[in-house]
Amino acid sequence: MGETLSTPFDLVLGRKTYDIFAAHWPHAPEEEGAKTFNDARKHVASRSHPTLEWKNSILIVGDAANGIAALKEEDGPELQVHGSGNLIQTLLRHNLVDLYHLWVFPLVVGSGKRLFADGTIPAGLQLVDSQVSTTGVVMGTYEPAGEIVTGSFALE
Amino acid sequence: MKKLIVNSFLTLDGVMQAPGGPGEDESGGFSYGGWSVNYWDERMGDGRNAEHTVRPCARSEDL
Repeated sequence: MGETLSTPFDLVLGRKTYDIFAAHWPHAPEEEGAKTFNDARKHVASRSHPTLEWKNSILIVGDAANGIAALKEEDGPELQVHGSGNLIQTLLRHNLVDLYHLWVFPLVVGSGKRLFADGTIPAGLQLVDSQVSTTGVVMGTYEPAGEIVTGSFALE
Repeated sequence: MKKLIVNSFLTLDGVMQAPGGPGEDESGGFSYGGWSVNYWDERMGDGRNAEHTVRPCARSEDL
């Protein structure tokens, strides 16, 4: 998402999102940007041991948090996560996320899978970029900013 | 050291489930799949390729 997709990147995907992407991109037209996705290295987290037929796909063997932490230590392009709601919970519990592109749409749905679900480590975030679409979507970029600092408005 | 970047579409109440299409993820009885689709404009698509990530999901009902 954002400008980052025009730069080289690797993908880190949960199994469900991987399956959706793998069913689409190998057959998608070039003008949609298919080459970028097909050429990107895909690191896939899965508790089973699926056969990954989409080219440049690599199974994260063993514990996903350990595997992704090790990936981050290597040299190479940035790691992008799309969808992958279950995998993101693991990333959040292990403080592995360096940047968020969050697009907030003006509607409420009442229930459903949340990005920051129970178990997320409480943290402050710093807004480093923002734009608003003509349709009211607030497109924010956030970085982790350490522990939450509380205060009080009560008069001394 | 590589940066890990999470890209997510959210409702105002923080839900990220199935923004791209009805067949994307109906788990838990979620019936609003495709909730992001009618908000897309040129600013979101042009030079920002986020639509690339929802387009596969919009077609995921074909899976």
